[in-house]
Amino acid sequence: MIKIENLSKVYQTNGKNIMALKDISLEINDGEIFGIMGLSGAGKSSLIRCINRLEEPTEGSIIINDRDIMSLDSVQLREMRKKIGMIFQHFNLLTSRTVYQNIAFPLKISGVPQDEIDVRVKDLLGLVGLADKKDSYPSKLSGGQKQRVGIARALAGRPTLLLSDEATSSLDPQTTGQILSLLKDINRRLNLTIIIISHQMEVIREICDRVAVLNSGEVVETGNTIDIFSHPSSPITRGFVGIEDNMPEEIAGESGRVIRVIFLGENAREPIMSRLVKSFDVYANILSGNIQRIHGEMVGNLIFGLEGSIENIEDSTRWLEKQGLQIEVLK
Amino acid sequence: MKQELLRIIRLLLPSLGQTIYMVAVSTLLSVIMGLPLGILLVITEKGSIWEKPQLNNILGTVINILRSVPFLILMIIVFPLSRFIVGTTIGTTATMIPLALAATPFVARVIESSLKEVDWGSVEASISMGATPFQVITRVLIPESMPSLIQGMTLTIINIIGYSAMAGALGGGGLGDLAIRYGTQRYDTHVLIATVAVLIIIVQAIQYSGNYLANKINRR
Repeated sequence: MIKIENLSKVYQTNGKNIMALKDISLEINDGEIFGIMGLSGAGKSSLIRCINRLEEPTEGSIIINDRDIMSLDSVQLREMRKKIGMIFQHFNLLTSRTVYQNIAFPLKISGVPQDEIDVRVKDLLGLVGLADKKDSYPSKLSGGQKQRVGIARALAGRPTLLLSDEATSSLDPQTTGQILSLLKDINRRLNLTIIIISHQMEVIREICDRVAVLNSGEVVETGNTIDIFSHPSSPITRGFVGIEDNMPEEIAGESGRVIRVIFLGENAREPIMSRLVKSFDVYANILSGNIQRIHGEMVGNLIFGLEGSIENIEDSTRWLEKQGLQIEVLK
Repeated sequence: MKQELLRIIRLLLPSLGQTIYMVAVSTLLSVIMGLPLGILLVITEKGSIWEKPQLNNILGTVINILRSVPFLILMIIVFPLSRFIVGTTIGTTATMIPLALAATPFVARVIESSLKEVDWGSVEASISMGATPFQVITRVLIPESMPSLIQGMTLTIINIIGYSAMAGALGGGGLGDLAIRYGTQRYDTHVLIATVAVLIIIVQAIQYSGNYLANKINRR
């Protein structure tokens, strides 16, 4: 388990103090994929880099497997880092080394014997599906392949924790999908804890079990991914999920009642709108809507106007609430 | 015609030998002294792997001062040092001391700028894997900047050839010395032209080999 307690990070630039992280406390369970989501500048990068002390936290503690990493000296810290893998947005491979040599690098600097390195690297090449590229140099690889090398390299030292710093942010959507399923596969197979930071909502939605939303260096929301995405409470999360809090003109101009419904799981597949219109004498006018897959579940978000007698509208609103849907009357 | 050619070759060969000897040894010496300095300049910088801003400042200033001294003046200043190390201030061996000294700050700067070209991300990645600062230097910074380091060495060697010709004027021997003694003092135009031609060929050959090597190992 990873426990982050009251973590703060202050940068000093030109004599000014900039608070990048404010009093952050998080608990991350073993074997889960934990997402940290936020806009650029929210402090995500600082937070993940504090976990292996690439950046020194100003205050607070980080406890990984009952060990406070803030108390480690430089030798102990290096040993700890060998058990924490990290992958990066720009891959950060060594350009003068082949795929094989890149993956072998962390083992080489730890003094692992060559025959052991051979076996280990071969395994990892198979795991990430790059056995045929073993002697290529990184410049000859595509972005997705580079990230696979990055993942293999991060796993070489058999870490218990993998940190992913915007690892898919410079990849196209299709490659992003492939890298995410590779991460998910590794997470299941090796029971590896993964912490992912991303500004890409799709990434978090796709593979994270739990998520924390970061804004201006503070955690504004934490919870199961499905809950956060279906019932976002803070404005920043609502923005992420695609719920606009400012009513667009077409909604403001609607004469009847305007309702937002969030469908979750099985509900998303029910023909609720048709039933509503059939059972009550109302007209439904769909204003906007979308259906997303969140962590393997369907979440629908629909805004529609209702016209008809006031009574019928009241009845239909109550009926919708009874269906176990999350309803918001916008107007 | 044939006799003239033979005369020139007989004059040139020993001088060429002296120049190669002088340049080779002073390049080696300046790299031995300049490489650690260049590395120090990079790693002691703010935000780098061995942050020592004050040391970085002092080092940078000393290197700048050494680089501002004109070579001829430097040669004369270090005469006592040459006498102390080699026992004399005249001759090819004695000239290597000021040559190496003049080239060292240059080498340090060349190496500094090559190492700074290395993507900081790959340095950070190796730190995240538990690399020691020494491992970062020897296994990331140097190998990753090798093509650029070779280009820098090419530059250094050519520079030292230039200096060595100047050193010839102060009794250093070599091709520069030959050109001055025969070309300007005896108005022997043939020797002068031949000397310059040989220098041009050497410089071209070194530049060409440097480029070739750098391109060959460049994997970017």
